[in-house]
Amino acid sequence: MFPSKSDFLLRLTTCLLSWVSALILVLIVWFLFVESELVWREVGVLRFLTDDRWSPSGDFSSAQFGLFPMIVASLLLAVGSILLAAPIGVGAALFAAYYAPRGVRQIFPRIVELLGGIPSVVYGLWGLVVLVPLISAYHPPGTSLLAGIVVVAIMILPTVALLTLSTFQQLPTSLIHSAAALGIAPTGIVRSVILPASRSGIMTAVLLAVTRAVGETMAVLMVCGNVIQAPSSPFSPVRTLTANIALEMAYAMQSHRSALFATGLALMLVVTLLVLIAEQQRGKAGHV
Amino acid sequence: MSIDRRESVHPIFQIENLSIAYRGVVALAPVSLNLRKNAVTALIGPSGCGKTSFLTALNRLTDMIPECRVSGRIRFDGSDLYDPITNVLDVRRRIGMIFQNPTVFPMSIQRNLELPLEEHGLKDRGEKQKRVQKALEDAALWEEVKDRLKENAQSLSGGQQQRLCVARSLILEPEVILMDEPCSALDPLSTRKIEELIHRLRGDYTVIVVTHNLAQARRVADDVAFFWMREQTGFLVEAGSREQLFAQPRHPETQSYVNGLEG
Repeated sequence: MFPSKSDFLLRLTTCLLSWVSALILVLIVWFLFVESELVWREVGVLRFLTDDRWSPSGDFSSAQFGLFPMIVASLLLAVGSILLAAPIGVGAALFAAYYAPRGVRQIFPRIVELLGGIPSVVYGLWGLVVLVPLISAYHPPGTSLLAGIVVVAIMILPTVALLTLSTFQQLPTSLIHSAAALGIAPTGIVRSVILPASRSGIMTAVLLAVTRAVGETMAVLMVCGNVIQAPSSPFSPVRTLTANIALEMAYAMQSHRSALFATGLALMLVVTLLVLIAEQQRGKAGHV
Repeated sequence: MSIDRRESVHPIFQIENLSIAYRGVVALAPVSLNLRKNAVTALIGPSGCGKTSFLTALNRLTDMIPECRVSGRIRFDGSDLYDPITNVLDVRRRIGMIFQNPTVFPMSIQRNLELPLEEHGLKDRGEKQKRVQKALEDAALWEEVKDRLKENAQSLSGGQQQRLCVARSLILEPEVILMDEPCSALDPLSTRKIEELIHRLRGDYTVIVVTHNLAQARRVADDVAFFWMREQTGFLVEAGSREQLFAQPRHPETQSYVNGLEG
């Protein structure tokens, strides 16, 4: 085989482009490592998990680097918001795909896309003005893990709903017709055929939504209260890894700055962990 | 269309002036026809002549197609199929359907068969297992899959998948099996297996099979109904026994079609 020159060029270009995207990830991780190197060299990994408090300024012996409460907060926020958003999103997609009248069927994705287009800071504002006082009336102070979970759940809802809807739309009609031809009732078709057949697509939707939830910064920072503590209840104020970086980066110096890059690395680890769990679940989905 | 020979035999479907329209456009002009119980009836004719529409009206799958309107009357085993009090789910259990492309569910072979049983209320494990084996045997698939029931059904070959679909219909112990060009996506060997299967179902089940393949109709059918189309609208030209329709067609359209001159 002697491929023509244009074939060769196309192959070279696409190859280069795929390497560029892979390289960007490597560069980001490398950059986080380099920038946080100071603190790794002086403090080590373990103290990030074992130190009681987070006060990373000053000299290394007296400074405290406890990231653990923030890792817990980030994880709980992500898991809580997906547990809230997934059933709502999948339910909405089911309705839009199979039950809604034609008009609604066409408008629904547009509306949900709009929901996804609202800037993060607006969600934060709504959370601060509406949601936090509501929670506060029931259980002060209101700025809390729960407020963060609700706001982030609304923010990731479009991701879950739209990706799940497109999974449903890709299912062959013949699959649904053959289930109906067996005399299976509509609820049975949804439960036993549509949902199992869409499991892999729904897992992808959840995975993307979870990574978005972990990375969400502005809205979370506005409604979660930013107290560094492992939450004892949903009403406890918490600070997430993302909020930690956003809040302190502006004035951080030396060891403190280096520790914030270490926070960034911890954030990447949390995301990787969640992606791995989701991938594993998706692997299982292949053999129902 | 009345055919003397079948008047004497108890028909399972009595169809009177059945007409089907999509978005107000008539796809099938009024058809009246009786289908014999426990016989194999082939519906033949060119694409777009309303054979598949006719078939889907028989198990009311037309209900699921938006903007599809069915008029006329179908009596199934004596009672009106389109009566509002008819239990559609029960009717569809009694009338199985095989589609053009195999439609196995994306789950294990065993689950594919247990699912319809469970959805119709059978929970007993031993009974389920018995019926799974019986259905697979009846569909001539048991020997090939008995050691891999837990494997994903999508790992089967096309012909095996189609036979699994037959087993999935048979497991509900239906009276009628509708087949919509069941072999058009299969290779000659798998086609032969499906045809052998149709031969074995004859006598115990009513089989109504849509086919493009005249040779296949000749091989499997007891009765044949020939559809044609005029200006986008399908209609029934004639129906009769296989011998009569192929040897002495009454209409010139039938004659040229069965002799391969048209369509």
